[in-house]
Amino acid sequence: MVHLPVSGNTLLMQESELIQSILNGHTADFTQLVKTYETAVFRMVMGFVHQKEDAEDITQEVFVKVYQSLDSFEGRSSFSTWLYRIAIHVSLSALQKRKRRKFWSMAAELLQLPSGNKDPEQELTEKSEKGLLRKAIDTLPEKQRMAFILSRYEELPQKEVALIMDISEGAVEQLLLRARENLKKKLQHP
Amino acid sequence: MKKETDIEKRIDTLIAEERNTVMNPYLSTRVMAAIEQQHERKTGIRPLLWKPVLAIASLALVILLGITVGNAYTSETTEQAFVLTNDAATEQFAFYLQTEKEE
Repeated sequence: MVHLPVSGNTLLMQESELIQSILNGHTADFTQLVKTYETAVFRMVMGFVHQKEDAEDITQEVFVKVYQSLDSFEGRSSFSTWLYRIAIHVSLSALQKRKRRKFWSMAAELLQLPSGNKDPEQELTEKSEKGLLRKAIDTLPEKQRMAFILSRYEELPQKEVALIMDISEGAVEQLLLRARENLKKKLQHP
Repeated sequence: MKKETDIEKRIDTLIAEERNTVMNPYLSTRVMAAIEQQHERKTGIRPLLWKPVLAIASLALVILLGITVGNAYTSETTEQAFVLTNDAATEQFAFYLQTEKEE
């Protein structure tokens, strides 16, 4: 069910109706779907890329892909489950591309001057601290990372994570436990 | 060795910070513009498919032109006239006069 704000009232429109309307050529209706899910997708993508600009670009790519393949949505799963799957796929593909240009972004980061508000040493420590945490998350095995991001960044219940990843709830629980252990190991002995 | 609770707290802080990152409020407009652009590219006068087609057609035209020019060349030699003159001797104008008469 999509909640559409219309002149102060909340219009309830079935997702399927909205999708059908888009497929019938009412492209503008897609804005409503984007507005409903953009924050959720952006938050999840942030878990993968940790950078605002990259996350925005990927979020845009996700919605363009969703629009292009909307006719292949059969409604066997909920729209959000289908959307999250696409978002994960696009994020992972973007990370693959990002690996190639990692060297250049690292060089750019080194050249960035620290802001005047904080003590440069403190900021550097903080930056490396955050860097370590992000690296620990990024180096988790793919499935553990997916479960971790969906559960912690999106705060989705295990049942929904299981549906998105197409595995059992027990498997999700195991993945989350292993992810937690791995993170501890990586951060205790960086 | 760092305490487990400390690690969890640090992870929670990072996640909270990233979750609270403010997104571009015009993202939906950007998305719709990107979709519109793609739509235009598909239905426009020069869709993307035309580019490789044009490239192949140009290449074929150049090859065809090369073959045509190559075939147009004939190895037939034109008749050449030689005049052997002796620089040490006086010019024999009679020879030239003779040819002029022939014309």
